[in-house]
Amino acid sequence: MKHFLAYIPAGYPDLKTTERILLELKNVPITGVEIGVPFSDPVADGPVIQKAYTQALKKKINLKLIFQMLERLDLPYDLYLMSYLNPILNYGEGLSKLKVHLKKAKVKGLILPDLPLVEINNIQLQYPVVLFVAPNTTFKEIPLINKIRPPFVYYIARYGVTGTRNDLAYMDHVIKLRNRIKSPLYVGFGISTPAHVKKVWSSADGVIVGSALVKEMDKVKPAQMPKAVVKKIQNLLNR
Amino acid sequence: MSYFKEFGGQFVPEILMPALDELEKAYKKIRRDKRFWVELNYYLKHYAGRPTPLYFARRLSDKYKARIYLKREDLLHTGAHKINNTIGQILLAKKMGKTRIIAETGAGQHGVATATAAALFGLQCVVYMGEEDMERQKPNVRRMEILGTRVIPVLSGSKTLKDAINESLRDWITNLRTTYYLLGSVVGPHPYPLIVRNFQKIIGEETKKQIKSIEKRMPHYILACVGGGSNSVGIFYPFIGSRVKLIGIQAAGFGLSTGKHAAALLKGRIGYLHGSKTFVLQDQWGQVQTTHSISAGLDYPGVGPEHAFWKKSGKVFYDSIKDNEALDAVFETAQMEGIIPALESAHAIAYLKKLKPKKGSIVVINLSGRGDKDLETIIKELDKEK
Ligand SMILES: Cc1ncc(COP(=O)(O)O)c(C=O)c1O
Repeated sequence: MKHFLAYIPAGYPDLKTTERILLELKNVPITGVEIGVPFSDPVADGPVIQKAYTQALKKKINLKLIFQMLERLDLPYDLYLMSYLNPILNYGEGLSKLKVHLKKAKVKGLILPDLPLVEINNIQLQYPVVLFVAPNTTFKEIPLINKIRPPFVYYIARYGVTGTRNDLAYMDHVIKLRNRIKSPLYVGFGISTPAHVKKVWSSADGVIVGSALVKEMDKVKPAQMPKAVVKKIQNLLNR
Repeated sequence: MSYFKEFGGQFVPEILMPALDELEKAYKKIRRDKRFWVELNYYLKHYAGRPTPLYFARRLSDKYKARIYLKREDLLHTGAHKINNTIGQILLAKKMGKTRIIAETGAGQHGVATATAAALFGLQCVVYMGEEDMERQKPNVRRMEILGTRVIPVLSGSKTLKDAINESLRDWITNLRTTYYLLGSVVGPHPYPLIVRNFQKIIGEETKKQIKSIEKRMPHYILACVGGGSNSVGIFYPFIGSRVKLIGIQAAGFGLSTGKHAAALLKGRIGYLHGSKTFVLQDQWGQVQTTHSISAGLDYPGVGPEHAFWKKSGKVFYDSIKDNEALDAVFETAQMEGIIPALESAHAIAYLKKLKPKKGSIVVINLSGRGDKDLETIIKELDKEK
């Protein structure tokens, strides 16, 4: 089976809309959702997601509100939180509460693009984290990755930040990495067409789509956003 | 080691790691390469104007009943200490075979110093600058443009220095192979805090020699303003562990209790910003706060990790100065010494009033830059008072 993760920025344009999108996503065959936790300084993100975060923060969205929503919804698919180190490690309720809240919300793992492999043992976070690999990652990192056994490994498919784009390079490296990495390998950053999805699925275990969905949201009014996201996913899945 | 005890590190996207490794390797190589330092010292001396004088400020000394010296970094080419670092890093970039230079700037001083060094060595240069800062520091924008640099306005986030750093990092992630990111302060992921410190410590090394030869002893105090922390690290570093009292002065803006300031070391919590674990001004939920200071160069919600370490270990004492106090110090220095200091540096000078040095004690103040770039801001403030 091939996996599909959808990225949704929490609180954009408001938490109510996020909730409705998450419920609507029950109707498509996806593996899971990455909930984007807004951060003021998202260095790994391009303009589409930056804008979403800025707007969400203007509405005073915080991680506690996101947890409360997730606990209430009890969603059938896998949930991951994607954010940056600072809003996670400086969670307003404290680190011990963070772990409790993560568990209650059934979060399977954290995705932290500013946490590279070299720092993985230098932070106080006893919770599963997804690890990143890139086109320039060498095989010498693989023993450490296999030792940690993350829920999945996130392959960044481009030199650049999040955002849609046309070509999809560096896929030969994916195959080499996948043969050596024990966790499932998902590919993200720049995935925006059915052809991309097909190509990724031919060499990796899963695909992650973010900015392409947010772009569809941006085209319609909030009330239409859940349907717009589902429609785009169906298009990407070629159904 | 990429840490200063618990502070620092490399909290950046995985895709940047090979670039940081490449930088570290190249830096280690030039550190032991005599020819590199000969070349750097040639440019520092004949182009930038080192060594800078340690000037005995007679009238200020009379007023404060102390022996006050100004380390005249303001006399350097382009008007601030920033050029020490940019010439060093440009030579490093050339050794690494990079053809394109990117940099962030707040006050525009680092941008101008980068544009200057890039022009000197014929490298293409792009500077990211917050839209708000471009407005505050217009003359520096023009200077960069005349020097052949493309200044790109940053419209994201708070449109100031921190967002310009974000945008530079994004550019770097996208253009790793050709591009050298020339960071302007002792911030960012390892090895930047180390590289910038080692290019700036010449300020302290000269000061040590000069004060020894003039006073035949070490100073009692050294004062320097702390934004990202490069001019202060530069003058403090050679004195760390000595008996000299080192005081770093942060921007208190409208006051520490107003929330409108930039004093990360005094009011920040430990966090992660721009690749480094350090003190960060942030809200309850870990969102980085927008800061305020009359001086764009101090308007930054984080601080170099080595300062965080010095703060926690008590090696340096940190305090703050408000906008209006800094502004007063500009006029005092101008009218008593004939020197118009940069608003950043004026924070260090203004601290004389708080320090109340014991009679006859020797105080060295790092005059990190000149005030030409701030004339518009200063005049605006004057008009407000009228
Ligand atoms: C004259 C001057 N002093 C000080 C600073 C603050 O930077 P740092 O703390 O890195 O020395 C700046 C920054 O632009 C500056 O232009």
